[in-house]
Amino acid sequence: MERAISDKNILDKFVIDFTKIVEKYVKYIIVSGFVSISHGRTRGTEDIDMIIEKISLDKFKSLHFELEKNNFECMQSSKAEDIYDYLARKDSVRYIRKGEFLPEMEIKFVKDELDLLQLSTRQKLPLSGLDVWFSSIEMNIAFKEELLKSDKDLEDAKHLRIIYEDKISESFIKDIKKMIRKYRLKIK
Amino acid sequence: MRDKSHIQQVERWAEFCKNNPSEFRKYLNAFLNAQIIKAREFYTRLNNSEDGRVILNKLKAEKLKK
Repeated sequence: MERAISDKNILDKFVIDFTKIVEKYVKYIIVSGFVSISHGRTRGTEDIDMIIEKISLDKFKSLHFELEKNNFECMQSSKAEDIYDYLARKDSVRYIRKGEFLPEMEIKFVKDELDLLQLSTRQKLPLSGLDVWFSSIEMNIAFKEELLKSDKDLEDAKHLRIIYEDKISESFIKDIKKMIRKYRLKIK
Repeated sequence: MRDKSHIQQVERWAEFCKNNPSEFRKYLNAFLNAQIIKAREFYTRLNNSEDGRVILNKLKAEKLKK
């Protein structure tokens, strides 16, 4: 049982192992709750959110087979074609390690200009202690303050604002919020 | 209920993380691991009985609706 405290926690190891495979096939970003959690935010999550570029079925099959070979499985189906259908319909799919209930990687394809911007402005965040691609801190703050807005999300944003005080671009956050209103909230 | 003291704690902890980057992880990792481990233990207990497996399937179905 993993009760020893090491440098990396269970979520970290899961993300590291999963992204090591994904990045061979497709551009990805980790978004949402895990971004703030990897910067010290003390709240729970049982899944990690990932957005990937839209790739061809053939390329996705290769990715899926390698994930399976490395002991990951998709909760929705074992067939790459079925899983690809979910993604193409803009639904998410969830992968877990075989034989384990948690954690889960929830994956979606990019769905609009905003997601494309998230991917194109992705960053490695050394303060997270992880060598993985995240959406930018500004993106995370903007989504949490403008779209999600639950108590938990506003606290996540507050946490990130304090960690990255003086390092974030308020004008970029403002621009992203404008795009959120346009593409997600459909406000002109 | 989230009163003012809650957000004050969020801010206090964030300042601690910012000012003690090599220190905070041991507390965070213990917390996160404990949550995952406890949840896994619970799901394993559920999986050990027929009634439990029914509940597990309902939980899974609910999750996959999202």
